[in-house]
Amino acid sequence: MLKIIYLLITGLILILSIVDLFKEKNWRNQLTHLIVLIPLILRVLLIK
Amino acid sequence: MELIILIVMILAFALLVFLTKFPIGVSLAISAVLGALIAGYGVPVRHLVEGTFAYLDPILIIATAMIFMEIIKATGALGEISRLIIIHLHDRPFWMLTLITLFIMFPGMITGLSTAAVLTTGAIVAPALMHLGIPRVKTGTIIAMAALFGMVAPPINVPAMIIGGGVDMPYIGFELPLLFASLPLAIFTTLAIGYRYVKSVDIEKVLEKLPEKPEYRSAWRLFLPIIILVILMLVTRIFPSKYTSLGMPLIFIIASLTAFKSGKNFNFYKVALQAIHDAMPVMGILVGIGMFIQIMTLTGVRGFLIVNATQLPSFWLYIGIMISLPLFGAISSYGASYVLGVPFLLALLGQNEIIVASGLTLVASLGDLMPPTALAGIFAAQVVEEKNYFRILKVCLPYALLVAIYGIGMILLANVLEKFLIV
Repeated sequence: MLKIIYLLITGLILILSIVDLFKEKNWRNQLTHLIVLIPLILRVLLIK
Repeated sequence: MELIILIVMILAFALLVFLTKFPIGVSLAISAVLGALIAGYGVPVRHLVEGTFAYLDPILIIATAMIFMEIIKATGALGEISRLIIIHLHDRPFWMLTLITLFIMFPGMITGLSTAAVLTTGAIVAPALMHLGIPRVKTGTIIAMAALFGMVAPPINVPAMIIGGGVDMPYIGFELPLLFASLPLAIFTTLAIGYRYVKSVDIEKVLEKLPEKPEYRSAWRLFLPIIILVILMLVTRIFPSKYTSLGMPLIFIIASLTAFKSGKNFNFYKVALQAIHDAMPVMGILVGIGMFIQIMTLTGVRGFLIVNATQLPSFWLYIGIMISLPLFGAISSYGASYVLGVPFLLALLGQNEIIVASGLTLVASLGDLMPPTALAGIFAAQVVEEKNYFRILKVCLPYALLVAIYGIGMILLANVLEKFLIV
């Protein structure tokens, strides 16, 4: 149960990060979003 | 060879941050790739991805804690706490300043970020502190220093998590040592700077500058999210055999959900998005540090640093801690905690590791006052509308020195303090 809840929390943060990525105008800051997305996406997809 | 790789990685990092203005997290990631290239590993994607996972737990904690902070700011709970402290304690300056210090520290305590404390509670109390009679620069100093101590104080101390992660030490049992490291110094610093100005206060003038009283049905309902947060955090620690540990991210989410209809209405999506936007640079730094350290480990640089740190004579080791940890903090106090904190902890094996790590994080926190980044100092200057943040850093200097000496004292006396602070 806790695992599913934590996947949902990670998913929520992932979605918010993606929305914030598209709202961000500065390409350097967009790179920050991209590196943060790597672990979040892999965890939500249960790849790692 | 390891020394050359280390120098190239640090130089590349510094150039990327200061000359090309890349964000710190991205600069760490790029310099990690450069380090791997120079060491002949090409672009080791598997290691780089592995590195991004090193601090996934602190990332989730910071993200959810920032959501919680934004929500209780939006409901008006934070502003109301500030108002109540000043209204009820203006004639008791010692207790007022003590509670204001704890209030400023609070976001730092639950997010592990000094900037969260400066920009939320720091910004809320700044006008009130100035109208209590404390000069602008000294108000900025109080906020910057309290924010630093908030970052060190439990329950969340990211540098301690980072150092612990580096030596496979779980983040358990740090509460009392971190309280000992932060609370006495925080109260002393605020009183030393501000007490003489608040002995007699014109409460009417101060009230004009405080945030308006938010509309709420009862104080209990307004503060319920904070009460639930504290209860959930304590109950799993006090009764570990009865209640399953929920983990900090879930606790923050539960506390956030209880904030609906507690005070002013707010849009969860907008508030959460703003929180993630504010937390993004720090999450990026944590991902970048993870990649940087993974490559340091791959190329042997980490081992090189540890071997050399453990061979330093003890006098120079302590001097090294006092100087290099805050200096490296100019880049990132989190980076300093891992790159230097872990070797220093390993060099001090034999002392109680939890207390040594707590002392190291106290010294490392000074990095947030170190120019040119000086996050706590710069944001505190913004909050009090002081153009030259060096004026604030100048007032911080003696207290920063005191913090460094206190941290070294904790490390030297770790085995004595162990009897009192380790439960």
